Amino acid sequence: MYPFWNIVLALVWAGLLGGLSLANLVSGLVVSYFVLAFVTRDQPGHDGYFGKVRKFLSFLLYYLKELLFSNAMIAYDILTPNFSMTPGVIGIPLDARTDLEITVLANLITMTPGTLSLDISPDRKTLYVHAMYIRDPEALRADIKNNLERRVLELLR
Amino acid sequence: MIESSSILTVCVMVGGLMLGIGLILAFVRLLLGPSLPDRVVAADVMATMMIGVLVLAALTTAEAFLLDIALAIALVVFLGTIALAIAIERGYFK
Amino acid sequence: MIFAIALLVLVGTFLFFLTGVGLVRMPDVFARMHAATKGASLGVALLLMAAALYFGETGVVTKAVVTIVFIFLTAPVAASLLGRAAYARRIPLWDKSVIDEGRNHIDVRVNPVADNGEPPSQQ
Repeated sequence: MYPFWNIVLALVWAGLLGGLSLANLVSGLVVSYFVLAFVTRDQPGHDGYFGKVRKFLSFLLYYLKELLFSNAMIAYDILTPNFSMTPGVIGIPLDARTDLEITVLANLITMTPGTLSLDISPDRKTLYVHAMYIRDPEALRADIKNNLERRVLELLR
Repeated sequence: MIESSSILTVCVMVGGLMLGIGLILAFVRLLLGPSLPDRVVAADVMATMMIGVLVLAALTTAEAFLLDIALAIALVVFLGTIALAIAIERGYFK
Repeated sequence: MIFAIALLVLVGTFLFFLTGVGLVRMPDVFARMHAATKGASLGVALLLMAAALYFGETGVVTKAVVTIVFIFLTAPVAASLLGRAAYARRIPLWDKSVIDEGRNHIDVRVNPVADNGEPPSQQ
């Protein structure tokens, strides 16, 4: 219901501004999102949509930060004469169950520099990941589970 | 559309130089190997760099249709890499 | 605006340069894949953003966004599949690797795409 009204209000906004251009639609979506979030703050089901969007934005920020940080780390290793990396393959026990959850998580792990998902075990309970910086396997496992996987599952469930 | 300026021209030239060096280095890895996956990765990267070359060309000539070609390359390269990965796994190249 | 475009072009091509250096310098296939997938796809994304800003027409912007989304959807799939193939075919890891937990668990599959955990049927 809320997404529908969000889009309708964005269309009205774009129409009033005088044209269905990309900038009008995007600004309409943003403005109507905040207006709707404020107006319906006491309604039941408010968190179902607005909470998800907020979580998505915070996930986006977290992922971008992660992307920049680990890219810089790899870039440093590439440009300096000595390698500081300690690579290896570790298995990560998964809480993600469905195809969608596992696919999204594996692809996000691959796109984060420093980790590359290789394979999932036949019983779909362990994801094997090649990582570049393994100081402590347990710490890396806990880091991926508590940050990336928790956020992805919060978003998808 | 933004008018071309000398800053952008210089930046595109410097960028083209770095891209060219990257292409040459990737080609070195393509020639050196040592294993087939190495070569496939290098070829994949070279194709992605060609998309970059097309975008730079679009910036210098202000021709937007070059981005269509970039999109087409992005669509095709993926299939080639997947096919080669499956072929490697099945052991077609021994 | 022109400065933003110039910066995007410079950073993007610098990432390509880094990818090239990483491809040559990194010690094993998997480390090279790390350098290749992220560096190249991020570089292309930045360059396409520069083009989107430069042309500024709705058609070009949507095309650039579609290309970026497509690259970011397909690059990790290709990398995972290729990494899996290399690992299953016993391409050696770098000799300074510290841990290798998947050795006894990842093996060659006849059809790596249609994976249901069952042994492949023989024709």
